[in-house]
Amino acid sequence: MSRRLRMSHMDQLRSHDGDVLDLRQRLRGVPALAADTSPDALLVAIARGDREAFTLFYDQVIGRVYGVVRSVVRDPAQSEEVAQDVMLELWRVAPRYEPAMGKATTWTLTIAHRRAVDRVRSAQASRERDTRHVEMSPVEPAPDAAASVEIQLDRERVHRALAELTPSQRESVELAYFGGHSHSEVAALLGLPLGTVKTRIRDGLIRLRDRLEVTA
Amino acid sequence: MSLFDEPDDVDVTGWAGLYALDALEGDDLIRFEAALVDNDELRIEVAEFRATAAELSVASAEEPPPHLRANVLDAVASTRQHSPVVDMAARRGARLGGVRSSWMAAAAALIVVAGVFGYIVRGDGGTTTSSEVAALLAQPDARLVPLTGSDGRSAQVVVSPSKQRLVVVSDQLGAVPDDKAYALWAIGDQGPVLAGLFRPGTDGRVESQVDVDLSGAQQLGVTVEPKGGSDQPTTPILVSGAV
Repeated sequence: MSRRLRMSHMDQLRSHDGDVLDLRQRLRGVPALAADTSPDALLVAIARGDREAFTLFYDQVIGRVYGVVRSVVRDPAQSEEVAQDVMLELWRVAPRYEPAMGKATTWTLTIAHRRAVDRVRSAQASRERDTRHVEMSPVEPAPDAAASVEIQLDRERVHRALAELTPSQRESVELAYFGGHSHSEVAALLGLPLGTVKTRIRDGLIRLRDRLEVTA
Repeated sequence: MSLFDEPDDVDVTGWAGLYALDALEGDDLIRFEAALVDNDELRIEVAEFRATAAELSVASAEEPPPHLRANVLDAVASTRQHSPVVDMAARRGARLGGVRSSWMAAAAALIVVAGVFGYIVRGDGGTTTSSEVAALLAQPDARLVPLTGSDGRSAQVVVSPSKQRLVVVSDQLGAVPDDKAYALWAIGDQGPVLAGLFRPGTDGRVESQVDVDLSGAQQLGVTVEPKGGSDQPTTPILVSGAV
């Protein structure tokens, strides 16, 4: 994921304590893409209440957070609410984050996807009454004109990896992840037994994991 | 239908992908999280699949409305972080047994939390569950410390020395006034040390966790204190138990 720093916003924030000042100094003293603005390093600072670190972290992850929430929730206003909840939740619970929970971005996206799924499943009854909002197909994300080259390359990489799945693996994974559908919903949508969906999702994720060279 | 009907690990492991994609619901979710408790391999697979899923989010990245940033930063400026104690309102009671085997089985019933990993389960009465507490229960050294009081009230504490973390669970402590909180004391040779403050949720349940080093503690005890805490217990101990 590319690191898009918006240094100008940092100065608009008042610093609270030594940690903030220390981070600010370190950021000023080093190039913008220095190691200590990695999400993992920023999260350590956020856990100490560092709002500047949070701002940098926000800028790095919000595109992915908002995007995954929107792909599941669809409604822009609700997606915005959920994305805001996710980021606030992250701020609140950062002191409890530990590396065993996964990398900072993984942790963030895990929370985002859960929150999005919570929103659609708890709203499901009313949504089902409103056919305009019933979405039964995987989301094909709209290209983002403003995306940096780096993001586009990352995106290409993921699309290529997805393209290497069998069609039914890909459908199952996409319905669950981008569509936010449950196991039984995916099975119903694809007309497959639960056990088959389980296997396809697992096999698909294994292939994606290896292709994307993901480490936990 | 549930693949959990077959006890071997292969079938259980097969659910890691569904779990990582938040596709498990209801009993399946609860049973899977119970299986996570003592299956390291499964937890590793879940972690890898979660990281993989997080990578997928690159494909759907989208610029949010510009005002979201200011809204979030404003909200952050007026939001206190959850440290060191986190109160988590539970949706449903749990009774923990006195031995490891029974509370491990009860991990599924220790339905916890609308916390960070809170997950609303539909279709079985609106239970809520937490991978975070499941993760604590999953620690090899996790154990249960029952706290009891002379008036019959009780609380349960799940302790993991290696994680230096504990979770307090009770539905018997009752409400406290707004200016008070329950205080958990770690009592050792040096006397009581405040481990953390907690309050019941709106439903009267306590589900709270705190990071604390209990290496010197022989006893845990709970008192009512001012909500800012006290250096020493100022009221009688309500419930206590040996660590």
